[in-house]
Amino acid sequence: MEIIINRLFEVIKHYFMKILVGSGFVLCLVSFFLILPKSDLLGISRLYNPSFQNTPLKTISKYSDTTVVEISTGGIDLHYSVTEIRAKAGDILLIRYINEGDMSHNIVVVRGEEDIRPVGIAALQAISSDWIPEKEKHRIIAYSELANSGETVEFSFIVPPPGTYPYICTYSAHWTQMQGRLISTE
Amino acid sequence: MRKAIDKRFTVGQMANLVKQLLQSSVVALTATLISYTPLQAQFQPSDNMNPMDHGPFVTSTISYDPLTTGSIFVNKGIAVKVGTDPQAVMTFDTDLLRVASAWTGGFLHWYLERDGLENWPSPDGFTHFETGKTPGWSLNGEFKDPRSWPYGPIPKEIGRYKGLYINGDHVLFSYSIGDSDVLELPGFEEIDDHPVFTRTFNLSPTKETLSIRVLQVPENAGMEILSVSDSKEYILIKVGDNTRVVGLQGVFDSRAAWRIQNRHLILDLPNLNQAVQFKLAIGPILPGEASKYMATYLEQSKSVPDLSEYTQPGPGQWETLQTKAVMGDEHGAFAVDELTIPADNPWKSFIRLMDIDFFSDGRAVVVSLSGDVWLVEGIKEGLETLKWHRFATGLFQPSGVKVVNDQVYVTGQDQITRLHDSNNDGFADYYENFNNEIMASTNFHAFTLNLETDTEGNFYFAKSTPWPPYLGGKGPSKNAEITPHHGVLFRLSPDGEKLEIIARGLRNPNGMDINADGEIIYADNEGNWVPTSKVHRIKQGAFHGFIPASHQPDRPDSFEPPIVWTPHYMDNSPAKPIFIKSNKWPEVLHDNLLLASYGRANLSMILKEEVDGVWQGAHLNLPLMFKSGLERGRFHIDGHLYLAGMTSWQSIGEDWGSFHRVRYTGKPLDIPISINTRAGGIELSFIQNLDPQIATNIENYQLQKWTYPWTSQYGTRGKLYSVDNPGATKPDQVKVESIRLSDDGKSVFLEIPALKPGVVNTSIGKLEELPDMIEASLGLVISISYQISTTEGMELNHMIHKTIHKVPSEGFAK
Repeated sequence: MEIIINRLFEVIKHYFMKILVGSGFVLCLVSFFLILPKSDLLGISRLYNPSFQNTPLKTISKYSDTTVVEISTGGIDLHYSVTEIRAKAGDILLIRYINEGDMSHNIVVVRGEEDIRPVGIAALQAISSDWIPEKEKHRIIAYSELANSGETVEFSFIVPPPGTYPYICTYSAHWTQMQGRLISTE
Repeated sequence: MRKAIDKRFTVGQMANLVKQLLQSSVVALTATLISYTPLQAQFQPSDNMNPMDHGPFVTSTISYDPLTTGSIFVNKGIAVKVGTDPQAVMTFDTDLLRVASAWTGGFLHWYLERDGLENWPSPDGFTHFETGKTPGWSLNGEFKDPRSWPYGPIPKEIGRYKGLYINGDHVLFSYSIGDSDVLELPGFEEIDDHPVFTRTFNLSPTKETLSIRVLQVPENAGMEILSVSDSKEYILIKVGDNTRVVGLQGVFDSRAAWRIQNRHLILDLPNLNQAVQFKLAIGPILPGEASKYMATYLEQSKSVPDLSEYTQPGPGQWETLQTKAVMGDEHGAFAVDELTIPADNPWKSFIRLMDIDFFSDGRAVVVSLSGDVWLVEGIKEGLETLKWHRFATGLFQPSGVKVVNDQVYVTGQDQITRLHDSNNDGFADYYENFNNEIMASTNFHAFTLNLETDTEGNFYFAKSTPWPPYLGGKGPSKNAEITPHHGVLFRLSPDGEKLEIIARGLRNPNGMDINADGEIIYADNEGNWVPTSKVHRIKQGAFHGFIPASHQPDRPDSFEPPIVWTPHYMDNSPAKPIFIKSNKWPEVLHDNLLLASYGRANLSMILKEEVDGVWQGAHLNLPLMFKSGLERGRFHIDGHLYLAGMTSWQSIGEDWGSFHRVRYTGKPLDIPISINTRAGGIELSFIQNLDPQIATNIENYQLQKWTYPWTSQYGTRGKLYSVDNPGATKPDQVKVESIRLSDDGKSVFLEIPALKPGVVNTSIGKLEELPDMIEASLGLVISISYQISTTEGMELNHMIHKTIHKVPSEGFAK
């Protein structure tokens, strides 16, 4: 398996320059053919490498265009101040979440509308992992740390190809009300 | 404040970046290939109350304007559909025994907020007449409100609502005024294109003098009486250039008299030495002096009917529906079967189940918050086809049901209704007012909840409190009212005659149960003065924590200790706690509790212990999920647990309503069977032998502790208050000195020296940041997480929350 991974990395590197110039279409095709969805090691769960997850903006922004969005929550509201984010596919999106609310919250970006519920339900059993359910990570694109009352957290990720991606708070079933949509554009 | 992790961008990270880019593209491609899935039901408010065919009437508080408390014109109104073309509606007030309002156009309009529950519905049409909020009848010619609060029924000596009969499209009201029995049939006719509302009466003889308020009129209205015959006359009410005509038909011993007083048209009846039948016909306000239509109508009308024929059962009302039940898998100790509800039904009935009970033949009866009562046939061990009968409709937010001697009793916001099906055709034909002393006031959140009985046949139910509550002079004035019925538990005698308040300080008592010993438990939701959700053992006469409903002159300084506190992250909205009483469930669990959750659509176990007279429990989730939030559950004679539920705000339920059964499969339990406090520690017991090496490894246990403050703030919002560092909002770590295994290998003792015998004091003083905080010891919560296994290799992993008020003097008996 290790060999396969290395070979895949070689191919990936070959395309890296093309990615940097923003050839999203080529990227989509390449990834579609090269990465099998069932691959364990290269599956979606590897997306959550925390070393990238919270990489400072100034570092990663060297490699791509960057969109920064600030979102907050106040009081006892179960509501994000920003419920629609528009960003360009392939850009880096950095979300700074300022929790001025009384409760803990997070932001979890999921792949589609149908992933909200499975992730939200599984999160109820994931208290020990800060409300990020390991078994449903394949439905998650990116996520923040848990922001306790008064805390600010940041996370960044590559804006996925064009489409609409819900983001939710998985803390304590807040996802039934705390939702927004990331709209990825061409 | 947490900061982003500062790391240098390495080659490895670059590789990660590439992988993420590629995988994101796969994600996006997949996403674009999958068609858009509609949002879950609970993410959008429902308009399902408006298209629903509610049946011939709806009972509700009704308001002209949802934003103005003063526009509530009836607190307990039965809006009867008296005409269809055009839709005509007349509303009868069961507290004041008056017709509150009549309109044409549409029926009622429900608002979106909280799926039709946050605001009272409004008349969807043009109002033709109404009466003021004072009694509709009088024994002395005056119409003053005799009540000390403007809610609840007038004294029985003046008048008493008995119930209503349904016969086809006819809704017949039965009540008494003084010692006269009254039957009243509301009706509607179009006469020469004029909408005319009719009220037909049968009265039994009385020596008392009766007067009736017919409708509101301007104080300066002129009045002219015109006779058609000895038994027929009409009155012209003139205001300016406009005229309204009211017809009267009936044979009296002497003439009835009309008068206008306090802006109302009043009819004073003569002595009723014998039974009388009469009819009022109320025309619209018309320009000029149009009255001929009424004269013609009276001339042509036949004699006033004997209404007693409508007390007999009419034709069947609704077709029977069928659904297919789904048996659950039996891999674990508990299987969940789904008794599929007929969500897609011909009447668009918005089925949101609130409670369940059973007949002696095993059939179930369930009530829906939207007003229906359904009978369910087909309950047997292996579920297949279920038959659903729409037994009753139009009730006022039914939220409790109990079957006593095979008769159905339903809790509504307005009354306990006893439903009669006199011809056993599956449709209730008489909705009897069993007791309507409960006050229905202005605020939507003051729900009337539950219905249980004790072994002596007494009924128990509770009333919730307004939200938001009126705190320190702030808040909407409509919430300033705390009536004597808010936040209390009621006991009603078996004959329905005596209503008593037996406990106080309940915030939102959505779920209660009683065991054979008469012990009462109830669950309360987090909110103001309730820092997190909890389950209580009721102490009769005592106060249970919600200050605005203390109903005592001085502010309390303590309240009854709850059996458990359930942290916000475990359950934001519990519903019924249920005593386990089934010969099919493991005996070791008997008399422990289950807790249905509305918010989390799941079921938890509460293992309780008694220490020096105090019940304290340990809460743990069972790994079972349900289609909607859960509301109530009851054990059937078949030994299985049946659960009824619904979804609305702050619930993760997927469907609007659900009906499930939980069966014990006989497979080994993977949960503890007791969690008891001991001097110097906590003992966890299982039915299996524990792997000694794993079970005694201290690394496999994580314990934290905290308490809660008592404050007017709305819940602690997930915050956990340190006991060791008052004011800090992080839990304290609990030091476990050792883990000891019992001789039988089935129990472990977590040695916690700090748990010394006696009362646990968790007072954290008064914290300035918390409004109106009262210093009190609310008890210790210890979270216990463990990852151990049995000798057979079964994994035992749980997170349990144990509430402790007292520590016994007995230690761990190895």
